Parts: sequence; structure tokens; C-alpha cells
Amino acid sequence: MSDATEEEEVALRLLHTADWHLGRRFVGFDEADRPKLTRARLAVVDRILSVAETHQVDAVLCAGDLFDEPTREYWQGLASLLAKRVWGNRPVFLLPGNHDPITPSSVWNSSHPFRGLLPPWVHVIDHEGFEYELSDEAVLYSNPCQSQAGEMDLAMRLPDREAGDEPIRVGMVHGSTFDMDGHQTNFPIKIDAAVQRGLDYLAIGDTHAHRQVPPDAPVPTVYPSTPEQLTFGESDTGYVALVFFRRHGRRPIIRKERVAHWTWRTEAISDLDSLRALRDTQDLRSTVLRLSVNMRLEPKDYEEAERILADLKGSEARHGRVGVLQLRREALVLDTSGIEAAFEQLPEVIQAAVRELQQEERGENAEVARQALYHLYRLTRPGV
Amino acid sequence: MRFLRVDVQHFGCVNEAHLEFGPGLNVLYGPNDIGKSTVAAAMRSVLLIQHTSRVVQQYFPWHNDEAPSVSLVFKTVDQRFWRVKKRFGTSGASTLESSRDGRTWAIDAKAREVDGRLRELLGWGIRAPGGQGAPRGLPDSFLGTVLLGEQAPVAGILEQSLELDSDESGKDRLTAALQAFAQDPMFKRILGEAQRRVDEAFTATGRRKRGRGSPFAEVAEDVVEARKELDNLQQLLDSSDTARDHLMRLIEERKALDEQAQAAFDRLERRREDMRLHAERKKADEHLGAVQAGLDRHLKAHADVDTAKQELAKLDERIEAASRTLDDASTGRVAASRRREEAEAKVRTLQSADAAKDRELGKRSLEKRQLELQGEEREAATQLDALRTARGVHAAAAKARSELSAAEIVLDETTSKLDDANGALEAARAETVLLQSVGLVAEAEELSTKLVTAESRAQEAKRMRDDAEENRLDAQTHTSTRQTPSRKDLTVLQELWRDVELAEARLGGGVSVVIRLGSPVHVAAVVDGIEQEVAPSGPHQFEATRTIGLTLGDAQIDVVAGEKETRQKARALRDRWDQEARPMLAANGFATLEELRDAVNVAEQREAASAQLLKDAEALERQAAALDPSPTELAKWRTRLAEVKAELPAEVVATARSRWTELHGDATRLRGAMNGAAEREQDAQETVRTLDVTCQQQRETVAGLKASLEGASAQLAGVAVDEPAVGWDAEIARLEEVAKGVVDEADSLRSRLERLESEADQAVSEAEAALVEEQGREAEAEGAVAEARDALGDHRRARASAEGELKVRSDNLADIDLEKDRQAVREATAVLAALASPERATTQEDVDEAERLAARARSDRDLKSVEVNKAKGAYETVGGDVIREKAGMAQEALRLAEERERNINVEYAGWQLLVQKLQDAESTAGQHLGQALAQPVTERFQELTGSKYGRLQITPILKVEGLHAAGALREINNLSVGTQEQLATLLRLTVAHHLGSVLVLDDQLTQTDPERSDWFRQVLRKHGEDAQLVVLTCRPLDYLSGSELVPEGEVVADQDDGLVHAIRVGELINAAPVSR
Repeated sequence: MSDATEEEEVALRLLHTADWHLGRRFVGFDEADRPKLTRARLAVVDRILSVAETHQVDAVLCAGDLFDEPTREYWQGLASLLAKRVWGNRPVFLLPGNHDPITPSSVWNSSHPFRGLLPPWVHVIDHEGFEYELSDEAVLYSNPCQSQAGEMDLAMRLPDREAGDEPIRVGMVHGSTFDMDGHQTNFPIKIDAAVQRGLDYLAIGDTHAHRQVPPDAPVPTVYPSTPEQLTFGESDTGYVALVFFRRHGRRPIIRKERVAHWTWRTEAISDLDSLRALRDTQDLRSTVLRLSVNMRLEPKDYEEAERILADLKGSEARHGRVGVLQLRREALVLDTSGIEAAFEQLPEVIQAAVRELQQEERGENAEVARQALYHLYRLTRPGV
Repeated sequence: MRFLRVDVQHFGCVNEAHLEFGPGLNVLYGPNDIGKSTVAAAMRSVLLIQHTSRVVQQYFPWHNDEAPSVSLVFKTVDQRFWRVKKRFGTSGASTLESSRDGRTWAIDAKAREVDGRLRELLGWGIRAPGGQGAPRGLPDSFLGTVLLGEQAPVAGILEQSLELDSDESGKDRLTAALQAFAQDPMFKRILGEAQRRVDEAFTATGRRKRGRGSPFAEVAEDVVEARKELDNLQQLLDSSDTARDHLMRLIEERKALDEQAQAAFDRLERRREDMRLHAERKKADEHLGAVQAGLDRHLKAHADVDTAKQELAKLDERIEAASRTLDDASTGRVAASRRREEAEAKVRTLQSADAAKDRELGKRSLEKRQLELQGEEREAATQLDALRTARGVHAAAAKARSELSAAEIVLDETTSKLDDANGALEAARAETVLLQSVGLVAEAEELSTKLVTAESRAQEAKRMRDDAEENRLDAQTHTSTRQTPSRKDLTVLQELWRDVELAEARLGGGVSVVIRLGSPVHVAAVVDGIEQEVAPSGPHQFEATRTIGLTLGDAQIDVVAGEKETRQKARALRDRWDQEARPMLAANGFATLEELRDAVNVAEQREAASAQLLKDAEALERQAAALDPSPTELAKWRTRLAEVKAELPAEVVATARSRWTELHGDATRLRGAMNGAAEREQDAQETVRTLDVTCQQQRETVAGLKASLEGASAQLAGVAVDEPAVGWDAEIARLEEVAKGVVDEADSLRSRLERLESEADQAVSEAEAALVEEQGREAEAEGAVAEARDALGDHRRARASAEGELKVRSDNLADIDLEKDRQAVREATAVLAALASPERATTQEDVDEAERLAARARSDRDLKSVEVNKAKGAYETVGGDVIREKAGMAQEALRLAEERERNINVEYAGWQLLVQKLQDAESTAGQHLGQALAQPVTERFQELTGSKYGRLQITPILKVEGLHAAGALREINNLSVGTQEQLATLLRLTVAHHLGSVLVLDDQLTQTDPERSDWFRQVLRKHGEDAQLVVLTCRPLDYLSGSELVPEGEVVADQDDGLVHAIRVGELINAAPVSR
């Protein structure tokens, strides 16, 4: 089929995103790294809007949990990002999720300044039973989260398809499709809610991985994933979903589009060669790396390991080789068993102190004594 | 460093003083209160005290308002000259100048900078003023005290240490000078860096810093914040969890109620169904019962016919059996008649005459055997008696032999013991005799020794008397040498001379003399007591503070400065000296007062020695008198020795001496041996006596036993029975068995005789009884025949009746169809089986109750649904998973903050531990500093005290811990005051020697005896060869010989190329007058 034909065949293009978590503070990271990760969440929204433009989508659906900490910096930042676009015919729909439910004091409330900053083509799903005609051929139905927790199925509260109802029906809610039947307490979504409500696409948010639930369902129910990963252990993140509805055939085409800047990795290193290789062979500038170092090293190697780790981490004066490094070094142990050899050429008084520290190391104060030995070792090295 | 010159003005009691110092030993002497110590204080102040310090207020002049000022010129080891000037007080000033040649000076520091620079130059462990921790007033420092210590307390240095030093410069200098451990530059850098890191985190007292900039503060704040956030979130999460749990519980409860309601409705339906099923089953069951009853009846009719046939067959069998019974009874009756006839014949036989005769013959035979047995019994008894008697006699004889034999053995043993005891007694007696001889030998030797000793002591006493006489002669010699003025005279002269010196020292104001000679003449001059070189040609100008003595050819001109009154006083005192003292000195042959003093000292020492000799002589005489033996005693000893020799038998002398030698000539041992011998003799006598008695008793016993044996032998001869081959006991047993057999057979014969009579009577009775029994059995057999015959008749009648009844029942079966009846039953059973069974028996009341329960369950469920809706609302208002997620993040943040805190803690604890260990190691190494100082001090001290004391112990910070003596460390304050000041002086000398620094000793060694003073004089002199020493004293002869004193009319005298520099300070210090 030619592009032109294909183009004619597409009835509706949507960009589906969710779980921005703007304002997340990343308290588990060093003070210097936190702003990088927090600011990245706003930056990725800008890229998402660019992707929307690139693909000339008809609408952008943002399926909840858009704010983590809705501070002024971030709602103003979001409003600015949106306002700089000129999208009169490309509505953007912002859905309150369970992290940022619509309440009288929330940013979504019509009296909040945030609302005043939004362009008219940005719509907040601020009431139950929201409907919007995306085109002559498509309608959006949505219900917002009005609390941080709830057991109601917001998808099943969308209106059912009536007989003879022909347009494309798109649903958008926020919730979890994974709770056990009878134990739904976190805005549960029935796994076949899209079918039961006669929808053609159900846009949902909450889970941070990209997923269709279930994969082979007749009507897609899609988590697009969080556009920038939030924590270690998450997988398949960093995407938006581009949804293409054809004129013929109900099931839309869904495409993952990567928008993330950061790649999150977890590495465990247990030998010096691997550590050297990590430093020398990989570009880690866009990586959030959790590095666990599990090594027992002699003083010379320990010192090198410290240098490499400092190189990876960077300092106030110099960028590290790793974009953001979370270092777990509890298991990096100085092997002091032969450390006295490093002091052999030094004055006797220093060697006496070394012997005393080694004696101390055999007692209850082992860790402190080992640290002291390392301090002494470092201070006696040339150039220190 | 050494001092070159000091100029003092208006400082304490000193109006003015100008002193120059030599490079070696400087002895500044003069009477008390002249201001020597004030000059020392001025030197201390100009070096150590800031001019603004209040400490100096004590030195403000007593008689005017002038500000104290001091100028000190000194030279450092780099041969650079320094001049420090200070005018003390609030309007004071300080300058420090330096010079390469001592003439041209350049300002090095001014005002406040002076003291910092000075302290740097001195390196005495005193931090520059102004900073935190810098000392105020007169700073404490080990080297300051050692080198410039005050007059008192002299031994105070022994309580000083490096501890109070405000910086390390003093320690550094000492360690370098003593060649002890010195801080390696690397060590110093490391320690400094580690300390810097410790200081970042800890206060001076080792507590953690908590303020801004502390490495602990920021991370601790993070931990607090993280924990606070976690706590908040945890509370929210707890609320959320509580709400969720409540909701979940309510949902569960509602679910349970749903199930209960559903169950109630199910039960109601089942009850209704049960009711319907029950009615249908009842109807089918009744029909089945009816058809089953018909079938049962017809089946019973068939069964009755079969039963009648079986009864008829049974009756036929009974008839046949009854016929057989009748035949058997007839046969039994015939046998019983035959046995009754046999019994009648036996009775008749037993009652016949032949039977009685046979019984009489048997009886007689038995009676004959009875008589034979009686004879056999008697014979056996006789044999037994004979055997028993013989056995008794044999046994008695054997016993008598055995006892006799045993008694004889015991007697032999006792006799042998008696012989041994007699031998021991003899030996003991011989030993006693020998030991008595030994005793005599011992006494003889003792007496001989006493006599020899007495002669020796008499000789010693004579020698002592001779010695005593010699001592007396010596003492007379000592006291008879030339007469010397007394100590009192000396004191008067010394006081007069001191007054002269004081008066002359007070002269002053300056005088200048110019001589222009018309013709050449010999010119000599003494200026202020110091001889001046005079050029051959004039004019000559002399300037002096007090006096100028001029010699112009033959003329002697004395020029004296000062006010008239002062001059007159000095002149008067000088005249008085000339008139009173000089003649006395000349008369006694002394040139100077010092010679007189030395002579007085020598004379006193001689007098003391003479007195001691006389005292010793008296003691010797007393000892001689004590040693002299008494003549009476001597005569007594000699007489006794002759007696002893007479008593001692000649033949045992050698043995006795040998034994005495074995006893090591020990009388105690001899007495012990004699006591032992006596005891052994006494024991032997007692043993002999005891054994004698025992022997006699045993001999009597043997005699008695022999008599018994003879009696038994005679009795044995009267018994004509030999011992059987099997032995006495076996033979007697055998005969007893034979006798018993005879008795038993006799008893048996008696029984048989008695039984023979009764058995005949019993046989007749038994035959008669058997007859009666057989007659009875015959009658029973006849009864049985009659009974069998009756039974046969009954059975035949019953059979006829049964045969008739069978015929009637067989006729009734013709109208019955059993198969039809069974089909009807099967059909009814199938109908019933096809019907479902009710679950339980159910009544209408059961159905009504089920309806009521179902209605209540529905109501409960509806109420629970209301509760669930309320709980949902509550849950939705709290966090749920959002809060859980945030709490998880807060937990992680706390963990990381705590880890960071822990890392910081470990890091800084590591720095702290490192500093501690470095300091410990340095301290341990630094012990060499104490040891390095202790060693030379100890050596000198031992030299001084004749090694009376051991090692001096000094800590690494140079704190004197004590002195080893008599195996233990002794505190210094246990030493005498004199010894303490000597030890302190040696320590100060040692430090100054090693540093090559000036040492000021202000009136030290005042408690030191002349001998040690002499020793110290040499030590100080030697010290002066290497380093400068400034001694301020009122006792110059403790440090100088008489010839080294400043000559009359002069103020300074140098010896040994200037290494010994004597200064009579009275001329150089202008002290303020002291008035009340």
C-alpha cells in the first residue's frame, strides 16, 4: 500500500503517554544528582510534545500520575512547555491519576492558577463522565481519579456502546489491571473492560512498564510506560504509545516510541579488571548507574579502585564518566593483611603506628582501624 | 646563645646596672639585697614578657615613677648579634635590633612583633603572643625555667615539664640537641594532615562538632530529615493500611454474608422439595407393601407343604431308631444276669476253710524273720560303739601332738628374740660409753679453744690500748699546731669587709682625671678596681664610676667619686679595716681574708678530727676492757682441761675424736646422740625383760602339752581298733546305714503281719458288695427294655397323623400363581426406586423456619453493604499505594542517609584513631628524649654522690618521676633539700650544655656541703669552657678560688683567657636605698 493510501486509511492518530511524575525528588541519590533526574522529567515532556508534532497526531492523551510533587516550579514549567506550542487542532488531555487526584486543593481544580496558564486546547479531565469528540469519527471517554485510593473501576464506569453507535470509541482512565478479583482497592480495571464497554482503545496509566493487557486482547488496553524511568528495577520504560486507527478494521496499530534520555542500569562489580573496563569501554553519560562494588583489594589496588570510582562519580569541578552514579561500596574492603610492606621504607614511628592499628584491627574496632590504615596509606603515598 | 651585656634602669630595687658577660663562667657576686636577683629578673623580663604586661608591675621602681627599662645584647649560634630593648608600662616600647658585628644595628622588629620574633629566636616552647592559646604574662616553658629559672624554689625545675609549653619549639630543640627522636618531616606532615582532618570534625576535647561546617552536621541533618519524612509517611501509611484493612475486612464480611444469604435461600428451596418428594414416595411405598404381602402369603403355603413332608420322613427315622434301641436293651438284660451269677460264686469261695489256713502259714514265716532282724540290730550297735570310742582317742592324741609342736616353735622364736635383745643391749651400752668419751673429747677441745681465744683477745686488747694511746698523741699534735683566729673573729672581719665593700660600692657619680706629664714618669692606673693599661706617652685620661688609683713614679694618688658623706663613710670603714683587720691578718700570717677563712676552716676541721681521734681512743679502750679475759676463769678452764684428759681412757681417744668429727664437732648433735644411745639401752633392757617372762611362760606351756600327749598315747594303747582303710567317719557311716536297714526291715515285717489279717476280711466284704451292684444293673436292664418298647409305639402313632395333614395342604396349592405375584412386586419396586429421596424428613414447620432465616440473612447482607460503602469513602481519602510508594522511597532515602552518615563516622573515626596512634607512637619514641636527658644527669649525679643513687627517671615530656634507689623508684622530695638542689642544678647544666645556651644560676647550691661544692666548682668551670654560665651569688668562694676573686679596688677579674669572669656586682649595680 502506498504512503498516500496508507495516510488516507488512518482515521485517527493519537499519542498516549502517562506517569510523568513531575517533581519527583529522588531522595535516594546524592544531592548533586537529584536535580538532574528531577529536571529530566520536565525535559522529557517537551520531547513527547515534539514527538506528537513529528507524527502529527490528532490528540495527546496523558493518562494520569502527571505530577508527583505538584510544586509551582513544575506546574509552571509544564504550563510553559504547553503554551509554547501552537496546537489549536491538537487537543491535549490531562488526566488526574491516583498520585495527583483531582481534589479541591489540587492543581487540576478549576480555580488553581495552573489551569489559568493552560492553552485552550489543553483539557483537564476534571469531572466524571468526560466526553470529547476527537473528530467526526472518534470520541474520547474518560473518568478521573478523585482520590489517592479507590476500589471503583473507572473503566467500567465509562458509557457502554449503544446499538448503532459507529464512531471510534477511545477510553482513558488511570488504574491497575492486576489486582485480584474481589480485592480491588487501587482503581482496578477489569481486564476485559474495553470489550465490555465497547471501546476501540483503552488508554490507561499507572504501571510504569510499557504493556498491553492482555497482549492478545481484541481491544487494546495499553500502558505506554513512564517516559523517564523513576527507579531501579523498572523495565521497558521510556516510551510513549503512538496509536493509529484505520478506517477499515477496528483494531488500531500501536507503536512504542522511545523518548527517554536516561538509561537506568544496575551493575555489580567484583574484580578490578571489570571496574577498569566499565570506566574505559562504555559511554555512561546518559546512564543512571547503581554500582555495587564487592571487592577485597590490597592497598595499591584499593587506591586504584578509589580513583576509578572517583573518576566515574566526578566532582564539583569535573563531570563524572557516569551521568548519575549511585554507588554501593559497603562491600569494597581494604585488604590490610600485608599493608605493613607499604610502610617498610618509612620512619619507624610510622611503622609503629601501623602495628598499633593492625592490632586494633583485630579487635572490635576493626572497621575504624582499617579506615585509619587506609588514611595513613594514602597520606604516605607520593604526591599526596 | 650567650649574653653579652645587660643594661637595667629603674627595675625594682635597681636604679641602674650595666653588666658585661664573658663567654664562659661568669660569677656575679656581692652581698645580699644588692639587686643580683633583680638583674636576673630584668633579663628574664626583657626576653619573655611583653612590655605591656601587668606582670612587670612588680618591678616598677620603689622610689620614683620612672618606667623600668632593660636592654640585653646577646649572640645566637649563627654568630648574629641581637639587642632587645624594652621600656615596660602602658607607655612602654619594645625594639629588637640585629647586627652582624655588634656595632652597626638594624631594627628587626618593633612593638608587639618583638616578642613573637624573640620567641622564635629562643625556641623555648613559647608561642608568639596574640593568637589563641598564646600565653599571657610570664609564660611557662620548660626551657625558660631551666635556663633562666628564678632563685626559688631551686628544685622547682624537677616539677617542670614540657607539658605547659605552648608550642613545640622547645621540644624540637631538645630532641635535636639531645640527639633523641626527632619528628621526621614526613611524620610531621602526616600527623598535621590527620590532625587537620580531625579538627574538621572534632573539638579540642574530642567531642564531635555539631555546628556549621562540621562534616557530621550535614549528613546528620539529612538523616533527621529522612527519618522525619519516613515517620510522617509511615503514619499516613499506617492510617491507609488501617483503612484498607478495615475495608477489606468489611468486604470479606459482606462476602460471607452474601454466602450466608445464598445458603439460607438454598436451604428453603431444599425444604420445599423435600416436602413434595416425601408425599410421592409414601404412595408408591404403600402399593409395594400390598403386592409384597400377597406374594409372601403364597410363598408360605408352598413352604408349609414342604415342611409337612420333611416331618413325615423324620418320624419314619424315629420309628427305625426305636426298634434298634429295643433290641439293644434286651441284649443288656441277658449280660447283667450272667455277671450277677458270677458274683454270687465269688462270695461263696471267700467264705470257705482253705482260705483261712493259707493266711496262718504266711503269718508264721514273717514272725521268724522278725526274730533274725533283732539279732542283726544288736550286733551293728556294738560295732558302732567300738568305732566311735577309738575315733575319739585317736583324735585327742593327734591334737596333743599338734599343740605341742606349735608351742615348741613359738618357744624357739622367743628364745631367738631374747638373744637378739641381749645383743642390742650390749651394743647400746658400748655406744653410751663411747659417747661419754666423745663428750670428754668435746669438752677438752672447747676448753682448748677458749684458752686460745682468750689469749688472742688479750693480744687484741693490748693492740687497741696502743692505738688509743697513739690517737691521744695525734690529737695533742693537732691541737698543738699554730694558733688560728676563731670563727667568731673571722665573722667579725667578714662583716667589716662586707661593710667596706658596700660603702665603696655606694661611691659613684663618676670621676675623670687627666694627667699631662711634664716629664716622663711611670704611670699606672686602677679604674674602679680594674687595672688599666697605660700608654707610655700622655696625656692620660681615666674615667671611672667610683675610684681611680694612680701611681706616678713614687707618688700614689687616690681619686674617689661620690658625695662627701659616702666617701667619708667608705674611708672610715677602709681605715678601720686597715687598723683592725690588716694587723690581725698580718699577725697570723694571712695575706687575705679568704686565706684567713680557709685557715679557720682548716683549723676547725683539724679540731673536729682531733676530737674524733680522742673519741675513737676512748671507744677502743672500752672495747679492750671488754675483751680482757678473767684470770680466775682462765685457771678454772685449765684445771678442768686436765681433769678431762685424765678421765678420757687412752684406748678410745682416737675413736671418740673420729666420732666427734663425724658429729661435726657439734655439741647439740653429741647430746642428741647420747640421748639416743641411752634411749636405745633402756629400750633393749625393757625388751630383754619382757622376752624373759614370755620365754618362761612358753616353756611351761610346752611341758603341759607334753603331759597331755603322754596321757593320750596311753589311752590309745588300750583301744584295740585300728583305723579302717576308708577312715573313721566313713566306716561309722556305713555301719549306721546297715543298722538302719535292719530296723527298717523289722518295721516292714510288723506292718505286713498286721495287714495280713485285715486283707482277708476286706476281700469278703468287697465280693458281697459286687454282688449287690450286679443285681441292681440287671433290674435297670429290664426297665430299659420296657421303655424302648413304649417309644416305638408313640412314633408309629405320630406318623399316621402327619400323613393325613400333608394330604390336606397339598390339595390347597392348586389355586396359587407365584410368578404373577413376583412380577407385581418388581413393578412396584421400580416405581419407588425411580422417585428421588428427600434430603431429610421435612415438615411444614421446617419450611416456615427456613423462610424466616433467609429473610434475616438478606437483611444482614444489605446492612453490611452500607458499612462497606462508608469504609470505601474513608479509604479513598487516605494514601493507599501512593503513600506506600512514597514511604518506600523515604525508607530508601533514610537507608542511604544513614549509610552516608555511617561512612562519614567511620572516616572521621579513622582520622581520630590515626592521630591517636601516631601520637602514641611518637610518645613511645619520645621516651628517648627523657632517657636521653636522664642518662648524662644520672652519670653526673652518681659521680657526685658516689653512686649512692641509681638511674634518674624522666618521662617523654621531661617530667622527673623519681630516682631509683635500693631497688625502687623514689620520689625526689624524699631526698634532702641539698641533694634536690644539686640534682636540679645538674639537670639544668645538662640541658644548657646540650643546647649550647646561656644558663643563669641565681644563688643555687646554698645547701651544699663544702666537699660537694668543690666538686661542683670543677663541673661549672668545665661547663664554662663550652657554654656560657651566669652565676649570681653572695658566696663567690663556692665558685671561685680566692685568687680568682676580683682584686681589691676592681670590679671585674678574668681568668683562663676570660673563661672565668668574676664580677663584683656591688660596683656595677646601683641599688635604690632601702628605708622603712
